[in-house]
Formats: sequence, structure tokens, C-alpha cells
Amino acid sequence: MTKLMTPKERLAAVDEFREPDVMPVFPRIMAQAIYGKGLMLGDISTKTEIDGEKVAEAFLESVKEVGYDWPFGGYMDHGFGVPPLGGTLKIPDKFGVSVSIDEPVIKERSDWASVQKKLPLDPMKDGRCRGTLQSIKIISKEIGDTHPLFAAYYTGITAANILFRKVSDLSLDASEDPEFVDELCKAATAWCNDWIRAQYEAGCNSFCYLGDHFGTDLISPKMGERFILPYIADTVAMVKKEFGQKTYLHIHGNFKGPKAYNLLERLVKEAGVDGLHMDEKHDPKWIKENIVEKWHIPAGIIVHGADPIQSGPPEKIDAHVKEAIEAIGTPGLGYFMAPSCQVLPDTSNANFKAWVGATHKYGKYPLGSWKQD
Amino acid sequence: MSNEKITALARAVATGKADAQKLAQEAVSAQIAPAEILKDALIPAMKTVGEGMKEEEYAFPEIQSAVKALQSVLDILRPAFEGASSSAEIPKWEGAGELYELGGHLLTFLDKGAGLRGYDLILFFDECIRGLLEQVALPCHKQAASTHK
Repeated sequence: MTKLMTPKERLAAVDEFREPDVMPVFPRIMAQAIYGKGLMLGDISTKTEIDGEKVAEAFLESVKEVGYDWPFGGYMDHGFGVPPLGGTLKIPDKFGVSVSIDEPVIKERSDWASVQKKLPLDPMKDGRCRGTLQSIKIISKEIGDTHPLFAAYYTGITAANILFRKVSDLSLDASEDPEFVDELCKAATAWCNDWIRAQYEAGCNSFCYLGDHFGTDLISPKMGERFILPYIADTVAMVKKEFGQKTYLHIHGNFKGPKAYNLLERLVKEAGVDGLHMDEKHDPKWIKENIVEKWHIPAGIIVHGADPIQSGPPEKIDAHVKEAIEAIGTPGLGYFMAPSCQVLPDTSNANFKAWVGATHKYGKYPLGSWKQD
Repeated sequence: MSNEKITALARAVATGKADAQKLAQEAVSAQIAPAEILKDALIPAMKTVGEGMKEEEYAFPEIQSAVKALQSVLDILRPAFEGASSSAEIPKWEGAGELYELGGHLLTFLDKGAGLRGYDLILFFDECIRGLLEQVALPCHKQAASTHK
């Protein structure tokens, strides 16, 4: 009988292409942990503060109740660093995907000169960062021995979008004034690195998990080489050098085309990304053939966050998970289960549990051995 | 000469160049009919955009700058149709999805415009612009918001 592993041991097994006891689940959980506890985002966050204790309580309860493997150390959204730079946030009073940016830091390109004077930005000057660091400390103390706690943020053009500029404006900038976007990417990545450092200092004990929501959904592979690739490389190198940790990347977009695939390959081979979490456009078979077997790095197999995880019912979730795991076949080393792109905020805990439970059931190693139970 | 102007204008719109408006003005000054500009410069320009999307060369930055150039040309042409009214049904933009799918939809949409004339083409491009710009948003946010009733 296989020894029961901790989520930390499962991560190590996946990363080293050994058999874990079961396939681990990374839900990339954000607001769902808050809604799943019956809270609203306004209960844990204001425009300038996050209640770290409440967030930690919600996330610890979520991990305990749902039983997934790899949590974040707190509630993550796109608002970190924005208020001290002069932007404002919108807190949804009812349901909302996340706390979002109401007024961006840079409305006009000419605003950049005054914003630059406020940089570099110390994460400790942002009350929402301080609250999140407090949450990381609490969660790390409670479950850090058994669970990996990823440091997480975004780099390059995605960080520039989150920290400084609306998507549509930044997108037009990329075409009309790419040098300006270079500057924003550089500054936003410097902030990213400082924010990640702070998360490690607060108690994150594992890999860095970067996100990129531009990918090839919003910009061409050619622009990705300019506005994504060097910045991912920068953060990967910093995390490796300063914390001795690997970096996994969640990236959006369809990477099946030759130019996009070339960008993805460069992210792995040149930037040094150690593991990949794609979006729903890539089925498990594609991930197996084009990532795991080709580059020998771990990757997440995807079950769609909207349908079936959010929509349910549990029987449908069970069937999707079974199909996804069977698609990778045996020995099935180097895989974890992930949603695209997060467990959606209004997913019920019942559906969430069904997804995690099905993964641990059909993802028992050796894969396929669940049939003997 | 008029062919050269039309070709230069089409290229300027397709690549989102700021001088597209100036080229359009020059074309009008050279007595090239606005209807000809619409049909022979702007439709091919946007076809180049659609092809670029399918070929992984064009994404939203390039689309937005092409649309901006297109709008600036329409601003020059619009006065020629003052008081005109629509004489045909203008196709509705219904495309969504990934960039290469949007590129395919743009090409199909432009084919639908081939039978339109004059002022109807102005309205047609207005609809094209509206439809394309509506797609500039984070797909992950669209997904996350999509499930909440």
C-alpha cells in the first residue's frame, strides 16, 4: 500500500517525476475561499487594507474542508501596490470576481513621470500587502510543515497592466509606443520581485507561481518575446538566486500555433520556467505530448473552471476528471490537476470537493490502480 | 496614381499608421471618390488585419491601432455622406473567441460588406469597429464573470 504523502511531498514527487500517492490539486484559489466561507470581499478588504486574520481563517478552513493540496497564503487580486501609487480600487458590494481597479495609476502616458517618482514601491507601505503578509504568516505557521505555500504574482506586461494601466490602453501603447511599455514592464517587474521577496520573508516556503494573463490571448507571440519573456526570466532568476526555489507559470492563450509554441518553448528553455499551467484551450493529451514528454517539465492538466467545476453536478465533474487523467495514461508522472484559470469565485464547496475528491480517486498511483479498490 | 494612393492608404490603415488620415485627405483631394476609398482601400486593409490575426502576427495592439487609423479615415469620409440614409441591412458583428477565430470572423464579416455601397459601408465599418473593440478584455475575467447569474 502506498504511503500517504503530505501535499508538500506530492509537490516534490511531481516535480521530480516520481510517483506521488495521488495526483495533487492546485486550485489557484483566490476569491472562492472567501465566498466559500459565506463572506463577501468587502468583509476582508477595504480599498487600502486587508484583514489578514480573516483571510487566513477563510483559507485555512477552505484547505481543511475541501482538501486540496496547494493553497496560496492569502487572498490574491490585482490591487496590490495600486493605492500607494495613486490608483483606486473597487470593492464589490455583492458578488464580484475580485477586488478590481477602479481608477488606474496611469490614465495618460504623461502621468508616467510623476508615478516614477513614487518608485520603487515598498510592499510594506500598502496596507493590503501588509494584511496579505499577515495571512501568509498565519497560514504558514498552521500548515506550512505539510503544505507548500507558493509566492505568487505577475511579471512583465501583465504586471504593468495590473499595477499601472488599463488593458485597452496598455494594448494600444504596445503598438504605438513600445518603448513606453518596456519601461512599464521593467518597473512593474521590479515591484513584482519585491512583492515576491516579501511573501517569502513572511512564510512562503515553496515555489514561485507566476501568472500571465496576456499570453497570446491579447498580444502576438512576437510581442510576447518583448513584453513577457525577458521579465519572466528576470523573476525566475531572482527566485532561484535569492530563495533557491523553482518557478511555475500559469499563462493564458492558445499556444498550439507554431509561433506561440515557439514562445512557450523559449519561456521554458531560455527564461527557465520549471513547470507550466496552461488554460482550457489545451487538453491533457496536448499537454502530455507537447510539454511534459517533450520538455520533461511538470504541467497541470486542466478541468475547466466554469464547466464542469462551477456548473456541476458532481457526477459530471467526476466524469471529466476521470477522462482527463485517463488521457495522460501511465505512468503519468509530472502532472498535477488544475483549473482554468482558477476555481471560479462562485463555485460551491460541494463542487470544489467533488473535483478534488475525484482527482485523488482517479489520480491514485500507479495510475489506474483505483479500479482495484 | 490613384491606385498608388489607395494602396498606400490601405497599408497605412492595416499597419495602424498615424498618417492614414493624411493619406485619406490626399486621396479625397485627388478626386478619388469616397466610395472607392471605402471599397478599395479600407476593405483590403481590414482583410490584412484579419489575415494577420489568423497567422499569429496580429493581436489586440495591432488591431487597436488599425482600428484607430480606420476611424481617422472614416472621419474624413463621413462628411461626403451627410444627410444620407442607409439603404441596406448592415450585417451585425457576432464574432467572439480566440484571436485566430476572430480573424476568421473578420474576414467573413468583410465579405458580407462587399455588396454594400457608399454610406452603408460607413455604417458597416462602424459596426466592425464596435465588434472588434468589444473583444479587448481579459479572457480570464470574462470567464470568471460568466458563471455568475
